Amino acid sequence: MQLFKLMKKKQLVLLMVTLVFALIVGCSNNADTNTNTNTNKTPTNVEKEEVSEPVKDEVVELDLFVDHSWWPIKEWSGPIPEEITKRTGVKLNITVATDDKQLPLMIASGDLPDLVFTSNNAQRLSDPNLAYSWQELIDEYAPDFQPHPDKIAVNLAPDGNYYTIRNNFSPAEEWKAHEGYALQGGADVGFRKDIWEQLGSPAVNTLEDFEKLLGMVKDKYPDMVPLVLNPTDTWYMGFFANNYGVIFNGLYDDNGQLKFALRNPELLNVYKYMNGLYRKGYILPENYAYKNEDQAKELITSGKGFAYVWTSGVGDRLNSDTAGNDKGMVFTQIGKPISDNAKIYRTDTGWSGVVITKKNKNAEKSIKLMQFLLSDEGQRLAMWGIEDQHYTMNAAGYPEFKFDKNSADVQNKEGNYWWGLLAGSAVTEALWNYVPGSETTKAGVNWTKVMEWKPEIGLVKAEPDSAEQVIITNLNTMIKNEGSKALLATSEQDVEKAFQNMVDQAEKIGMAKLEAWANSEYEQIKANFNQ
Amino acid sequence: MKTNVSTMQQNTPLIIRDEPLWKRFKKQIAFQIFVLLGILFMGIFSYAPMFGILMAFKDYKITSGIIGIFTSDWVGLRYFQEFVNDYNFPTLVKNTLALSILKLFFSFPIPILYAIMLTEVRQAFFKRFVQTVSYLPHFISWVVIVGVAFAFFSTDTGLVNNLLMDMGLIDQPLRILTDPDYFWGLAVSSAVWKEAGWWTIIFLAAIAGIDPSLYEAAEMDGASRLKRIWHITLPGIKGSIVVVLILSIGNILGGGLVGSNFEQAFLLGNPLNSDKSQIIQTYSFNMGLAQGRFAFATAIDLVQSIISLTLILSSNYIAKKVSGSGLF
Amino acid sequence: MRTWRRRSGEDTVLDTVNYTLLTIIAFITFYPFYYILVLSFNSGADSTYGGVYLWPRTFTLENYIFFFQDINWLKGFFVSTARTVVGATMTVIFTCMMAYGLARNDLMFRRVYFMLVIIAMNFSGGLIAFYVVLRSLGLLNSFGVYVIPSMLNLFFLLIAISFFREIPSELGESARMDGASEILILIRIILPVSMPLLATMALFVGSGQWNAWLDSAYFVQNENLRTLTYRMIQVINQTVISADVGAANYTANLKVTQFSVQVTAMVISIAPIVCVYPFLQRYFVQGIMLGSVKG
Repeated sequence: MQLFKLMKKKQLVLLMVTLVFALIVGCSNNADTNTNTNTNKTPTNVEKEEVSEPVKDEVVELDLFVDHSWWPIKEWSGPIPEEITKRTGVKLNITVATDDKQLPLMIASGDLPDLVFTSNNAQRLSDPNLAYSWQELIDEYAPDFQPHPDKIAVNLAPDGNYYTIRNNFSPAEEWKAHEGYALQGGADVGFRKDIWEQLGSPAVNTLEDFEKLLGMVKDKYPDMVPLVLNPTDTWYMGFFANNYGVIFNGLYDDNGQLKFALRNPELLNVYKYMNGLYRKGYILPENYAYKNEDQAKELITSGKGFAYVWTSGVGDRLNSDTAGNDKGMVFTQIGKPISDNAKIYRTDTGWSGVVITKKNKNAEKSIKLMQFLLSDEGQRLAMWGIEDQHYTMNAAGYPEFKFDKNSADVQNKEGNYWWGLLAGSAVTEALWNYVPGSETTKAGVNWTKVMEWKPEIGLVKAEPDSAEQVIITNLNTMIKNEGSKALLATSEQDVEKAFQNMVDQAEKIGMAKLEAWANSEYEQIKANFNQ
Repeated sequence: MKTNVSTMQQNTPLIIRDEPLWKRFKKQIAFQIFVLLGILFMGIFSYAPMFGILMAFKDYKITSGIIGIFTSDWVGLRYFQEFVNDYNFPTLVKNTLALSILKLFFSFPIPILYAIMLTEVRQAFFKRFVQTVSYLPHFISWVVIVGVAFAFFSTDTGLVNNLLMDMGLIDQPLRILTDPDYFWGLAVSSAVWKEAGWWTIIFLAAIAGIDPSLYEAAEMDGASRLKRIWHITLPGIKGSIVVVLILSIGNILGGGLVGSNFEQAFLLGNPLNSDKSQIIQTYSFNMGLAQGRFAFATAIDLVQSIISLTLILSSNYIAKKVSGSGLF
Repeated sequence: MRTWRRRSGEDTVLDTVNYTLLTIIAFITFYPFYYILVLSFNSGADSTYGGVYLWPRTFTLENYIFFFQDINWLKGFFVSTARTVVGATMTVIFTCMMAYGLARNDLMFRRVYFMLVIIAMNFSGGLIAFYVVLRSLGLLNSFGVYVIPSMLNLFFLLIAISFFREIPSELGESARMDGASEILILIRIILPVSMPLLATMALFVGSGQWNAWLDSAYFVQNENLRTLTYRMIQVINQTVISADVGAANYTANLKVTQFSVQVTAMVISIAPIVCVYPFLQRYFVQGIMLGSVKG
């Protein structure tokens, strides 16, 4: 048929057009540095940089992309950022991510800004084609900058370089130096002090006590929901798993061998205990369907719920959230482990860090900015504020603040806290939260006692796009979905069945493969880490 | 009755069979230019980017940049195999199909019915009011709808459950949001609630195009209202119905006319109803884009595109055989 | 408008059923919207206590202030309005033009064209490739990126084709005899009688333009070109810190809650559409098309 022939011809033409376009696109990729708005003026070439050494007072504007869509501060303004600019000669133009795809798109297209602050994509950006190795820049421009060896170790990329130093990590000696003030919490349970007192203030020292207390609430106040869970598993699974001394997801060290959490038979007891709370009617089934923590918190702040599983700051936070309520609600918290087996395994090696991209306009100023932000002085200025104006240092070694540091309005105006996160260590953050005598602090003291540090495990990290990453993602989804069946089972046998089902599914997904890979990585890391 | 209005389908032919090709083309050059401008536009904004589909067959990592789409290693059907071999594959396919078919079945006729109901209203203010409020939900995002759904349907504090309990219609609160058995019904009805009023507008526009003299004539003949709807209104909007139906079938995996399979599975779905709420799109998102694995997401998209294309072409073929009109 | 001469028993039954059903529909579509409106004027913290169903319990404007304290929203409003008006106009004209050509049954290569349309409708090269094409066209960071790539709406192309096919051919014939060019016939004769179609397209495309924000995030860096919806999304994002597990420890004490901000954003984005719709609604009245032809 004539039409058929025509169509074939047309398809050929179409194919050619597509190919031509692909060619044009491919070629223009090489030329696109001209169209990129970020890289137009200053040379990025290292050698040229030396020639045009910037004048000391000149302020350089650099673009910073913050890969956290919830980041609340969108301007580099206020006395604190201004002070940082004065010290470093760098002013930042901020763009906050709108969703998770924005930065991957920038990476793929090559249109990267000068600096990127990211957690999810830090590993990806640790690539010599995309970012500067810090050590190279330090050797070149800032020989006096010596990051702590542990901080380097936890950020090493497979190629032996490090492209960022992530915040929220402190080496052991830094913790030691601030012992008693730099506290780490975990999950904890806050509850209604007023009601607890009406019940005769029963002591809560064991998991059985806790269960009994919820039972008393259920008897005496049948309309109340005895226990509400924050929807983030770090908190609601974390609290119970910590008390049983196990982890509920991820890898743990069993006599030098890494195993996946589901291998630990003790984890079944966590599910059994939590399932028991559900079967006795202490937890709403719907609680496991919440996605947004307001939905859970709402039950507590409206006076319908009795206890709430959240962070170790739960008591103070609930009191501030319900300040001035007319129902006589007062909150307190358990504030300590309620089991002899309690243990928290901390495997964190930092959270989010600044990457200096290859499109950076001024690599020298950038590395010097990071040098300043990582220094003790810089961390304190950026997070706490200007000494004597915003805080004073107590003789004991923690800051005392002169302003309402947690208010969003104040943070907007003064510019404190958030920029401190660009490079702030875990200790600097912990000291920021230290309030003498508060419930949070007491809980921190108690929980810190059962903490065990295992950064080596945290360093076993799958590469993005790798087969291991696929297994991990699959396991996460499976645990969330199948785990809820164990938590909401109608009998203890069913919990066992559901748990066994989880293990079986995990095997199908490739748990053993993951463990084999993890152990080979683990050996290398242990060797590196002990150096 | 005035029925034989000639339409553009039967207008004076611009081509005569025996004329040479270029001459025929020249005669309709104006129309050809209109169309070719559009084709050129599609060439630039639809076809040129299609080189991106290559990555569905390549070991592409975003860190290799644009050039990586061409230079990275071929992996053949690796991503398709990963998908098919996934431990959850049967559930994903079953849920996706069930949700899609149910949605198409319910969401397609309702806007048509609704448009006819509206045109039968004579009271002008009531008509305007109903129509205006019925499309409002279209603009409410799924995130907010899910929030409202919890306020209305929660077993503990939900307005609906409380009302039903107070009225004594149920003894136990309905676990609408958490029981897997409710999920498909919840998804279909909330999608219809959100979008039916909006899509009604298309059919209202089509009904507005019907010649009123046809109705007058029918009325003189003593045809009843139902008969008029059956013999005039429905045939009058047949073209639009067929086009919309075919396109809905093409988009069946996305949720048909009312779409939003992904948003619903993502937001209304939760661990408790996951047995019925996990679908291919959420899987593709979790395993693909959420991990920065654009190549994997592209591969899954490609499968869906091929299915859509096949569905559109075959439903068009069937529509033409059955009703005499189709897309083309 | 039609007039009904007889009211039979059938009429009464039909009317009763029809009015009852429509009243129910109106209620179930209106009430949740009204509920959202109420919550947007209620204090976010107070809403979490539940039980606010009919009117605000603790009336407040703080949810709205939370949005509008950012002075840039006026700029965003201007950009959004511009892209809605320009974008909708361009899409309607360009799409109708192509549809007018394709509506002819005797068009040569018609099936090829249709195949190209259907394929373009179903296959996409993905975000990265699309970005690169926009970049090589120099569209990034310009207002054009909002309105040019969306100029051809394939869904409405097909709807418009079926609509044009129903238009009596004698309409164009006389003008054609007088030697009018096809573009003139399209603009002077075909489009005016297709008002219901144009109004529908303008409404669908316009509301899509008004609510779009992904392109503003992905393809634009210039702060002056950010749209209102983009700014609203950024404000909403601030309230979902808990979405990031690594950040679970960070708090900023806000007066508003995530949900109160989300519902307020909804009300703000719906408001203009509710205002514009009544002006378009008159085009959906039956008989307008042929009435205008005969008149």
